[in-house]
Amino acid sequence: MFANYFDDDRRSSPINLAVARWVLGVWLAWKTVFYDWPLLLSGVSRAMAHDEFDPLIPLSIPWILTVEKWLLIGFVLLVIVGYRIRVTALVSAALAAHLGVIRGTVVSSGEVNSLFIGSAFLVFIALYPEDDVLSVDGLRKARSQSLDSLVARLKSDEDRSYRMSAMKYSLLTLAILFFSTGASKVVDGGGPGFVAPDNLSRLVFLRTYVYPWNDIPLLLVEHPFLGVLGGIGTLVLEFGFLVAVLVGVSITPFVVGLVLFTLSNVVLLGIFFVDNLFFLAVFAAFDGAYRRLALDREIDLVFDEHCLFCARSLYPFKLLDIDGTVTFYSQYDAPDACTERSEVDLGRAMYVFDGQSGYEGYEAFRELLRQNRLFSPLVWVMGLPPARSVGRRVYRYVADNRSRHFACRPAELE
Amino acid sequence: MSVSAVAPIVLLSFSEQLVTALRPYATLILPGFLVVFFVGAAVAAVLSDRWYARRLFVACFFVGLILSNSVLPMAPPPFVSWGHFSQPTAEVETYQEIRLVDESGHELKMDDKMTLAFDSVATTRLIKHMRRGQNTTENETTARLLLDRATEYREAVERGDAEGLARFPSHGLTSVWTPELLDGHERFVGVRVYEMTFVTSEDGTEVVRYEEDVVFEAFPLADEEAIPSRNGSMPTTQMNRTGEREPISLSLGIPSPSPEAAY
Repeated sequence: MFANYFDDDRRSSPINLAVARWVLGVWLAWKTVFYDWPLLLSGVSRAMAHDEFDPLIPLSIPWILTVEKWLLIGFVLLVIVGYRIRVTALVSAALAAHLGVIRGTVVSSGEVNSLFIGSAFLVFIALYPEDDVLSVDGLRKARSQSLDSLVARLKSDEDRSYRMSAMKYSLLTLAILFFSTGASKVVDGGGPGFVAPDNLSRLVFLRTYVYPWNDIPLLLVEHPFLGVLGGIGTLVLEFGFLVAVLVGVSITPFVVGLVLFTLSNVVLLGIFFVDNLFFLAVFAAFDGAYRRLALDREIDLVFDEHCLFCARSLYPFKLLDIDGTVTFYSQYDAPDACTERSEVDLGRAMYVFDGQSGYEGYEAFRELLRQNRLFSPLVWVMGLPPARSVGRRVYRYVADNRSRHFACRPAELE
Repeated sequence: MSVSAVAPIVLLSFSEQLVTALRPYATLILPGFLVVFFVGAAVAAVLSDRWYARRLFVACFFVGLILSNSVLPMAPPPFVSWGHFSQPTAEVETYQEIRLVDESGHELKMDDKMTLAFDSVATTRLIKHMRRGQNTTENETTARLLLDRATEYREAVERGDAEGLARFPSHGLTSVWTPELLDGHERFVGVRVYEMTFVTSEDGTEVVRYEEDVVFEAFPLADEEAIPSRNGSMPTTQMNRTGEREPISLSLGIPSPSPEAAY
């Protein structure tokens, strides 16, 4: 369910890294967009602020923080789609850290620390942009490839292996942080003090008075063994996470446990550490879920191998075909069963064959998307009469003019 | 004592001394460190085609992260160190809280979110600042700023603009103002900071004594002769506490606090 990238930072699909970018980007945008940042530099906030970072704080032009916020969100959106990742992720990381420092002048809690953790993840993403093939950058890189190499790539059945160094280092960072918080509980608590029944009872009991939230924590006070179990479980999870990462065993039990731990904190103590849910989600094996949503039907796709535009358009489908259920053929090596059909004209359009039916052009793209249930809504929309009508016309125009406008060389020039 | 036991203590002591010695230069060192970190990241990204560039940066990052979480008494941003309620509790626990006081003397615990327009600040830092005030004028200024924010936030709550369901959940949850709660309060005229002392039983399941003291108060919006008197009371486990709190018997069948309670 969760991937131990430290044990093996290679996956059979590029999906995880793309979704991780999305999770991280959405979290950061959501976290920062509603915030009135200039308010931090005025009134009560400024009066109580720490001054260590004053050289980096635009005290005379607080409005610049609003500009900075929107810049950050703009760059984060570019990170989400994977455009110029090296630059956009690094700038996003720096802006998030800078805003974090400013927020840190009045708050030193986990909600500020999380901005720095997210910033570190973004730095790792910026350092290893070449891993990110399912991105705008990846598609731009594909554009720079020659037609022959793209066609060869589409047709090849090479071992699918995608490296994810950014995930490896991000996972290690998070595991070290959890380990250190476990260690601080042991050190500060003088050994087993943290899990002592009186400590945990008192912790939740007093908070029901000082920070009233709900009465559920009182159950822990009434049944101290629950608190002790919870305390021991917390330490096992916080220590065990790093051990699992380093030893190379499954991290799933620990991540699931830490998610439950975070949720139990929300119930018992209030809204704390919710950012951790996003950080832990980054390491979910999204490719596994994607695989489970995939259809197991095998399809053959026949395309014009003289058409660079066609090859580029099909490249994302090759990346998304993580189980190799789509076999790519050109008009020259297509199976006879496909080419002998009376309705097939390979010079006119791309085709998809599922063993029973053949689908041409726009419908072929729709069938490609149908290979995974994740795209069912899009498949449904593409099947609506207006979308279908427009889509077919667009496809027809592109196909008919591919040698004129879309960087394709006609077969007769070969 | 073994060498392995002594070494961390020496290291910790040394790092604390180092931090103490460097503290006067914090305004140079901490921002400088942050800038150097990102310059280093940029250089590593630009020189990524050289095998050592990224490895060196990543190695330095993890050394810094581990040091920040072990021997260093603080984590210089962008490094972080988590606590997660690691400090053990004691039988005597002290908390501080800020309460707004209306013209009739009714008190209302501050909604943390009011200070930053729907996001919270660390009230402990705010309280420290107020208590540290060098003179009455400075304290009154802070109190007035707080009252201004409280008034603005109150208006937003009453208009229904402060729900902010779409906002990212802010850290912690203390007193949450609602229109119904605010309805029973008149104009806020002052601020009181309380120090609340809970003495708990050995097993941590009972409050055997409760005391609260005003450690700071300022009434910049009240006439001197009209400053409302204090109406001390026992906190309850109810969500939104008001000045009308009753001295309840604590939960779990615990008897009422002892007569020593200061209310």
